[in-house]
Amino acid sequence: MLKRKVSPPTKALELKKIKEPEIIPLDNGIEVAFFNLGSQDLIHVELIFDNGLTQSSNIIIPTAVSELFGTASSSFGSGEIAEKLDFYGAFLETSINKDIASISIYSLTEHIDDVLNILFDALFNLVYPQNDIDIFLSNSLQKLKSELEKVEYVCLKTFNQYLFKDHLYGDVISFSDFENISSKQLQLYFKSFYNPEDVSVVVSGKFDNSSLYNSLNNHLGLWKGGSVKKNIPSIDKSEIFKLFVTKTNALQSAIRIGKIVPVKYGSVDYFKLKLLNTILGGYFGSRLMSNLREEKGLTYGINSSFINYDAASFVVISTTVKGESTSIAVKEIYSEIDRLSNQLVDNEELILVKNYISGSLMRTVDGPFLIAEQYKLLSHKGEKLAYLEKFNAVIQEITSDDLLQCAVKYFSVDSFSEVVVGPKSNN
Amino acid sequence: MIQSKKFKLSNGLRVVYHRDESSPVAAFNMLYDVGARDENPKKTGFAHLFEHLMFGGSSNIVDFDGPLQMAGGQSNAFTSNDITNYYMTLPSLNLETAFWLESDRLNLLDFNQNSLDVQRKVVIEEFKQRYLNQPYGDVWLLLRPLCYKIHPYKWATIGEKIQHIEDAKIDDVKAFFFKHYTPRNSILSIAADLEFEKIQEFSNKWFSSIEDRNEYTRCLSPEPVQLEKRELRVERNVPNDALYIAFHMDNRMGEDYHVADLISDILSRGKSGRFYKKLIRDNPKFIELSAFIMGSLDNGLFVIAGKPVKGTSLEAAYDLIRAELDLFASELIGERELQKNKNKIKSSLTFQEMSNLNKAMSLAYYELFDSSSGINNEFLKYENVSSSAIKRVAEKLFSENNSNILYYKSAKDA
Repeated sequence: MLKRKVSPPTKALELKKIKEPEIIPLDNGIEVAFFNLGSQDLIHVELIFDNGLTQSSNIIIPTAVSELFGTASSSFGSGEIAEKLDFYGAFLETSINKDIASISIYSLTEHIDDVLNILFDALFNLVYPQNDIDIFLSNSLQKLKSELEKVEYVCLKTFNQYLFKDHLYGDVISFSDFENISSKQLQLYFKSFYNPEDVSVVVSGKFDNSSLYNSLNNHLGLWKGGSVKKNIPSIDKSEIFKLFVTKTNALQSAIRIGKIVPVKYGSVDYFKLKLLNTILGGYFGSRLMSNLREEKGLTYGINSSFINYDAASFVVISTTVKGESTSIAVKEIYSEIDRLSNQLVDNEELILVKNYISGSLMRTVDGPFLIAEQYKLLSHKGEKLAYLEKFNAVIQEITSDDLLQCAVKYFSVDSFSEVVVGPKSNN
Repeated sequence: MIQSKKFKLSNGLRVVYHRDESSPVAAFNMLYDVGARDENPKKTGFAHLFEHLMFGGSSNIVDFDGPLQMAGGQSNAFTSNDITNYYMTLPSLNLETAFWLESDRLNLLDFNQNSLDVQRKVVIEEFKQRYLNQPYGDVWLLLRPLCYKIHPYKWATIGEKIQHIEDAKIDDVKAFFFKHYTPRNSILSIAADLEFEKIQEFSNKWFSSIEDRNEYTRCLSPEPVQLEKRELRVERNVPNDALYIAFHMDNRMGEDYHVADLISDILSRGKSGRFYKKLIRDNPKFIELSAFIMGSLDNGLFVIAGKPVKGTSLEAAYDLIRAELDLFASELIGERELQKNKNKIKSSLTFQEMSNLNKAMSLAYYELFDSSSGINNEFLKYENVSSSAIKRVAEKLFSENNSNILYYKSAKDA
């Protein structure tokens, strides 16, 4: 007889040891990490620069530099690089966040040599045509205006602005930031912050190691230049703020509740906070989801994130709720935060969350591209892939008592700040 | 190339299996052949609401997600106008947990009033968050009924209106379950690192005892051929005007489906697409302009969506787009441009084969409308498209009488 009431036996999850990449420096010292582990004939080459949005006081400049990379070069006019890359079926992706900028190429392995030649031309002979810049600026400004209609966006911006008051992480944008940006400024920014001293390269997929190395070395290996990056001052606390921004006619309110926590990446408290945050709001079965969504139906979704920038770590809970339910939602969020400091997490919940985290770790290293992605994030923090095993092992050892102490230390309710953006204050 | 094996249980459940030895993470995907198109016109949004209820516990298992998380897994689902698709990813070594969970909710869902009450509220918040409380969020609520007069594609998966979701009753839930959630009406696909025999064993153990319920025969009225241009003008509190043009096109199995898909790529795939080159960069009249197809199983839509720059009226914007579309009729596309778009599709299709979850989802979907092995012929269908086919299909597709135009005006301009 089939026993439907009982779960089939589950096995303990063991995170398989992931092999560290082969790292070979180019002639000028740029480090290239090779993950030659693919089963499909695909390749991803990523250049990672340890310089993010914080290097400029107007974040539109680094944003434009990143977005418009590959528009033109001294050999190819506006649009010709995209045309060529598209012909090979390759994808050029650029991104920039607070701390890192990246330039990526995805290609079928058969075309990688041609594709890299186009990429290097773009990199070394880069041109930012003024016409493309102007179009980018005016379109971005319009898109920003559209974003400002969304309660979630206004809430995010307001929260970050106050959390990181007077700090570059606050990235306050005003409409005038979009004015008068010249090709020269972008060119200068690019030259300063996309340089061989601040770059590392990660290659993943399926390819011939030596021919790829040669191809990289013949171009990137000749690159000269020095770093001018400025250090971003660390920030480990902020003043407490409680703000309400009225958005007339909105049907829902966006809520953010959070705080800066003074912990270092990879420290013991850092791991405890990771676990604590997951219990609170880091997965589908979290306490916030169970309470606000599955019990009370106040929201479509709520989550809590524990985010680590190079110069700050912070926790933030965010959700969007029915306008009329704003105060009850805020109250319930604080009550869930408070419960962490008053009540031990029971064993079943603790085991479940630990297993959930192990499973998630497995998912983050599923396949060469994802392994390369983890490597990128870790090596920016000065860690290796072995960190993931350590992470898993440390998490498994954490007890309910540890979590209670951690909550008492960092999660006292009155230390949190909040922003609500919604139809009207009904407090 | 994605190798797969398949078999069918005596109750009608189809199972497709792909083995991937490189990944420790398995994907377990269950597709139910039911979507918003199968709903009662007075009870729209139900298929999607039902999807939420599938996580509210089954007759033997109170909590669906807990045991899965305990096994290191995660789950989610989506509902479209055509299908409802549930998926889990978990370590291959705990794959049986997924069989246990999925089979119990197919066997008998726990019809629970409390779960219905709560999920109704959750879905109403989802409705507001995605469709009402966002600039341009209601576009599909307007465009669908403009394009479809008869066929149930005339409402969005979230539902025609909130009222319909508020009115959902527990008896509706039961009836919907027994009508659509049957082994015969579902396809299980798995990508994992286990022996094929193990998959057969688990499938038999957990699914074969589920009764073969009545067969549901879909009988939808086809949308009549559109005979004249339709227009709708609305004014909303948004920062920018927007323009949407939708044309009726072939269904997913149709001969011209891949041609239309290529046409949408030619127009708007990336920065070398015609729209970006001509109407965003060289003659900057749009902030955004894109073309895409809905890919639906019944006759679908080819959609163009754009936001003109300030100073360009919606009428002028329409004329600019129209001129681009008319080009297909007057000029045969060059070989290089066509080849470029085919190359891009080839590489996109290869990139999609990277993850077990993508593979499992695609296999189930192909098994539904074609055959799981059909996934490997997909590129050939694009490869075979000729420039004259592009011209022929574009002429038919972009006929004015086949167009539905939504002028979405910013009230702030007024």
